[in-house]
Amino acid sequence: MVSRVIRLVSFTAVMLALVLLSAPLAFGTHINDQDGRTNLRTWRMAPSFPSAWDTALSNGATMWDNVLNQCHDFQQITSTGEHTLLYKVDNYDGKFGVFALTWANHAGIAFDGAEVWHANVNSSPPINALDLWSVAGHELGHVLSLKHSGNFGVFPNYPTMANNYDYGQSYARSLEAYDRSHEQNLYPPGSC
Amino acid sequence: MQSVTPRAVAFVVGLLAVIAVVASALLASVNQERSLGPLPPGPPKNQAVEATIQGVSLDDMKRRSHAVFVGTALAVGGSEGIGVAGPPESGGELTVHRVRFSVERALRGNRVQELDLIVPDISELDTFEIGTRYLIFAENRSFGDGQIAGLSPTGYYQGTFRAIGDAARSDRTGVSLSIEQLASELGRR
Repeated sequence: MVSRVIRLVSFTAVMLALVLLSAPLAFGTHINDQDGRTNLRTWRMAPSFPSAWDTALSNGATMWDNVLNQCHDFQQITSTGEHTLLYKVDNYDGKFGVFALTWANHAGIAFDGAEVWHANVNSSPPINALDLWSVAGHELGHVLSLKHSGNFGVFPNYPTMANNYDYGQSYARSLEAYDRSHEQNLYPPGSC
Repeated sequence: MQSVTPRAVAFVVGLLAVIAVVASALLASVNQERSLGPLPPGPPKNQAVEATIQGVSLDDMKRRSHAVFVGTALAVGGSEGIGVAGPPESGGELTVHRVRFSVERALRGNRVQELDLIVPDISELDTFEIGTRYLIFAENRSFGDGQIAGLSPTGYYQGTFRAIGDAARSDRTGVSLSIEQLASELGRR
């Protein structure tokens, strides 16, 4: 009798372990973890955002997804839940200071509405405007836990994660070696 | 010996009274500059970790800074809201804090004994250590809804240099300069 109970408990424990281990395979390999390094990060535009900004913000996320040999995805959502909220404030510190900031737990990215933002992805920004695609790409790099590159390299091949940015520039629309290699190191293939 | 007339006495007394009023007004204005009021208690929140900021060259800093001074960081104040909401999940507003300095030498701007710099609660922009001597380039900024305004480092960490003797160096950008040479350039030897 006792041995039957032990066998039954053991069988149940093994089956339970199998179910738990196979769950990620059954429900997809992406884990929605905003703070960890894996793997799917969801983001959402605040309702107050101009709809014309959508493409530029999406491009900022997609360029990270398009890097080869890495295991990470951004996904835009429209519902509430765990995500990084991209939103615009009327004024953070006026012009010429902070352009955008990433919240400590990656809960939000705030864009300073005191700046002139260029949201057209088919043209370069004028000299007095900031390229939304570029700055969104930079901040979403922070959401991936990438740090600033610290040096600029050679223009126009500055990393998207360069320390600073400036008006009238759009070089951060494409990732450079620093950006790609750090994303690949943080999210190596097979880590999903 | 000539006698002093009552009119002359009245004139002298009046003159002294005017001098006293002007002197006390001047003293009051100086004292007002010195008295900055207590800093808000508590540590800064450092609610954001990273930011995209404008790159500012040394020439830009020299041109656009409203104040340039050598001083020592005395104290760091607690966070103050700027009237702008953070992400809904954060349940709070965006904040800044003040860092108080004793001013050893003003190379541009008012000659005061102490002043406060306003620094965003963004950890990578907060580079000040109490008791450390700095050369600071600062500009006027208005944060959020405008209730909090005043001097803030120009280009944030880019306008902040550790000062040892005459040498000033930025930890973050590696830019070095001579304080005496800068004073000469800015016309305040």
